[in-house]
This record gives sequence, structure tokens and C-alpha cells, in this order.
Amino acid sequence: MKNNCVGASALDRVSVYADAYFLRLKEILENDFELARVCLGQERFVSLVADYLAANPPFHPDAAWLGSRFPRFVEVHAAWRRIEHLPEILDLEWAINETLYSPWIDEKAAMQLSSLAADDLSLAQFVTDPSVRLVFSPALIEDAWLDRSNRSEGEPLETGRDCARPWLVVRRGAQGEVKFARFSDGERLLWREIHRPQTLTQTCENLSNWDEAVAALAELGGWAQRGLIKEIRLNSSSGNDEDLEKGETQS
Amino acid sequence: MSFLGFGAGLRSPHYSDVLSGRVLEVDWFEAISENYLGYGEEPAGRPLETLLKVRENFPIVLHGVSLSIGGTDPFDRSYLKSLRKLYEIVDPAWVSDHLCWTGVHGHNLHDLLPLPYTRDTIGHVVSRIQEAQDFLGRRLTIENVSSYLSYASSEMSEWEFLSEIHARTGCGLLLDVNNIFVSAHNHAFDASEYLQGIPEGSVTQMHLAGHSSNEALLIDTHDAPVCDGVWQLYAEALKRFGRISTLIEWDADIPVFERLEEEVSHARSIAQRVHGSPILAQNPNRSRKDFHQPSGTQVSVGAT
Ligand SMILES: [Fe+2]
Repeated sequence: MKNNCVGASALDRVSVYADAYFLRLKEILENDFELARVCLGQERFVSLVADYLAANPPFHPDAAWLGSRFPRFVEVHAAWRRIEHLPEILDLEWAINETLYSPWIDEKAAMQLSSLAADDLSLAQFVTDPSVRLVFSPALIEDAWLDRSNRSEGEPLETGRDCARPWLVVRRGAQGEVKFARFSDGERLLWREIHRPQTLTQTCENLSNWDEAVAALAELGGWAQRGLIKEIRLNSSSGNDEDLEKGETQS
Repeated sequence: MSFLGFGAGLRSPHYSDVLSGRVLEVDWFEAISENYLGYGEEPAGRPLETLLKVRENFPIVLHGVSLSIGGTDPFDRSYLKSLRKLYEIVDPAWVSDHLCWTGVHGHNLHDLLPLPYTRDTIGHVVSRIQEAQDFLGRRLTIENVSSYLSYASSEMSEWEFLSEIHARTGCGLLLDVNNIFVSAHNHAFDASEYLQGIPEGSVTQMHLAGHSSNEALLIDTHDAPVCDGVWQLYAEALKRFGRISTLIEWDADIPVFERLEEEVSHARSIAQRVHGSPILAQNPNRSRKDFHQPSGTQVSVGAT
């Protein structure tokens, strides 16, 4: 085979691939973590990306997974985690990414609830919105995310007073739009509990020691109205542990 | 393989144009498989729901970028399972990926790296294509990549390598005319000789795209209109291979949809000139059954 290295050196040729590698991966992370990039400013974001990629070279055949370890990387990094709200912002943006790839389930629960006899309610099990992700952040980072295209580069996130409901609920709408809500600690407990394969009566028994969660029971109707609960099933059987695992990883 | 006409790569900035219901200059779309896989056990989510809406009116081809058909790591089974499920859901006219490797030792470079063109590599690639085809339950169509380097160990030309793999696996060829043009410049070979070296009847599809230049090298950037030299080479390819489904790729600095339609329209007019008969735009409201026979795979339309 003749040597075709005319016009460009071997180093020039390898450099095309080497340069493209970092640029391509940086672009993926820029798209998936827009608010983090704006808050840090381009230069610091690129530096964070370089640190991340050095520690976490892409591991999955699908490049969409590239950012899956980004929040955790920052959370445990001695320097990067000190940047106020950065770990929560990365958590939020990855949650948004995941939620858009969740299936859509039509909302039936509100209508079912209105026609349900009181006796039947005790047998109710709940099909929750599979797109829901919970992010712990007392700061109102969702407002900053919604306003991300109007923010100045490198403008630090000033969020004012912490929110009394520290769990940010992220989920998708029918058209793929991102929806936010907030849970208190009690609501989060209830949310976790209703993922168990058990009836509402069993849920109430399990919650009896958790005042806040018991108070949150009144929210169930509201969750159905807002589409957080998609469907109500009447079933006295207690299901299995496999279902429980699945429900919990969703939140 | 069916002739789908003249298509475009489906990209998210154009979703609303594609779903607008107006008659488009584009007959069919090619979607990047990985954009629809998601993170769950099965493909789901808004992008897939959109793709399925597009598919109601247009034939779809699924084009992958991560199979690493020339790689030496074992195939990632969970990735292959997701791909297979996506194929079941979308029921594409055909599926394709690239003749390249994309990573090694569990690290993915997310780039399309060239292979050394040797007898040993042919044996390796042939067995990988057969393994992937068996697992996916589909015939693969394989695309030539653009490249910036070649290996001292290569024993044959790229077209000989590609033709031998086609002959031994029965895979279809996706001839990227722009990639031939780019690589011909970068490695100083004759692009016409490349076309002459590919067997007639082996080509399922052609790609056209724009490129940029980096001093001595041409770079396959997909960020510009197709250049005159590539249009000329396309006309030459049509003369050799006949009516072949053709697709415009535009992935960076993505223009308004109408600009993309102009490129599609230009490809159509060249084909009409070469083949001497009008090749009309398809009606987007026409049932996709009119374009190609479904494979018989059960199609599930709500993503679950
Ligand atoms: Fe291509």
C-alpha cells in the first residue's frame, strides 16, 4: 500500500480525531447541562468538563449517557462541590434529561377518584407518573432553570431564602414540557410509600408514626388532579418486592 | 430494497416543519437510532413519540452511530437489546451503521474511526456483522466513513475492503458520496475509481452532506450545503448504481427546513437528469404502506 500522507503530517491527521473527541463530548454536556454552563461561565464549565472526562471517560455506546455520572462526580469532588448549588443544578438537569425519555401515561386517576366509593378507597393502589424524579434542593433552582436563557454568563445563583418544601419534583407533560412541583419531607415519605405494592389501608398503617406523611395523605386527591398519580387500581393483594424496587428507583 | 426517493436526516429543530402537514419536498426521513433509545429498559419518551408521529406519514430509516462494527470489545448486549426493541417499535424500512470502530477497552470515543484494510480485519468485521444481524434480526446496511488517516498495515483499497464485506455478509451498502469525496482528497485516491470498484446492485442508499476544510485536509462536518464536486460525484454514482434512495445529512449549523428542502430538491433534479424521467415528491399524507412493504414485525404505537 503506498504512503498517502501527502499534504498533512501524521500528527495533523491524528489531531483531527483528538480535537474532535473533546469538542464533541463538551458539546453533549453543554446541551444537557445548560444552566450549569451559564452559572459557571464558559471557561469554568470547560474546565469542569475536562476534569470530569479525565475521571469518567465515556463508558456507554450511546453518547446520551455521557452526563449520567456528572452530578455524582461534582458531589464528591473536593473543589467543584464547593460551588454553591452546583451539585443540585447538575442533579436537576440530569433529572430533566431522564424525564423527557420517560413514557407518557394518560391521566385517569382524578376521574376515578371522583367516582370511587369510600370503602373501595381503602383498597386503592396508585400508578404514579413514571417520569417523576425528585431532587433535593431547598433553593429554588427551578426558577433559575426556567430563566436560564436570560441569565448572564458566570452570574452566580442567588436564590434567597430556602424553600420549606425542599424536594423538587421534576416530571414531563404530554408534549414533553418540563413540569415542576415541590414536596415537603412528609410528602416525599408518602410518595415513596405509595410506590409499595400495598393498599391505601396498609400505607396508612405504615405511616402512622410519621405525622408529616399522615398529614400529606390529604394531598392524594391533589396529586391525582395534577397528574402525579395517573391511575387507581383496586387490589387487595400485596404484590412483590420486585415492584417495590422499581417504584423506589423512580423517585 | 425499495426506492424511497429523496430524504433528509430528521433533526429536532425541524420537528414542527415535518409535522406541519404541508406537502414537503422530502420523501422520507432517516433518524439517528441513539436519539430515541433513552435510559430505560425499553425505548420511550417524547423524542420517540415524535418519531412515531413522523412515521405515520413518512418512511423512516434508522441510522446508528454506536455499533462499533469493527471494534474488538464484545457488543454491549443491553445496547443491542434497546436497538432491537426500537426496530420493533418503529419498523424502519432498513437499518444502518458505519464501517468503523468507536472505542476500545470499554471506553467509547463517540467517533467513527477507520479500520486497517487487511484480510484479517475483513474476517473480523464479517463475523461481527453476522453476529449483529443475528441478534438484531435485521439485515444491516453499512456506510463508508470519511477518514483523516490510513494505516501502514492496509493491504487493499477501501472499496475492495467494502465490496468483500458486502460479498461475504450480504449486508447492504450505504454509500456516503461526501465521505468518498472527503477521503479521496485526504488520501489522494481517485473517487471515480472508488465508485467503479463497488459492485452494481450492492448499494441500498446514498448520503450527501457538506464538509469543511482544515488547511490540507477536508473534514466531514455536515455543516454546509453539498459542494459542486460532491454533486458531480453523485451524478456519476447514479449512472453506475441506478435509482438509489438518497438522503441529505445536515447536523451542525442546521438551517431552516426550507433550505434543507432545496438540497433535497437539487438531488432529485440531478437524478431526473441522469435517469431521464421525473421523480416526483411523495405526498406526506400518503400511507407509508405505499412506499415499502412492512416487515411483518408488530408495531406498537404508544411508547411503553
Ligand atoms: Fe453519512
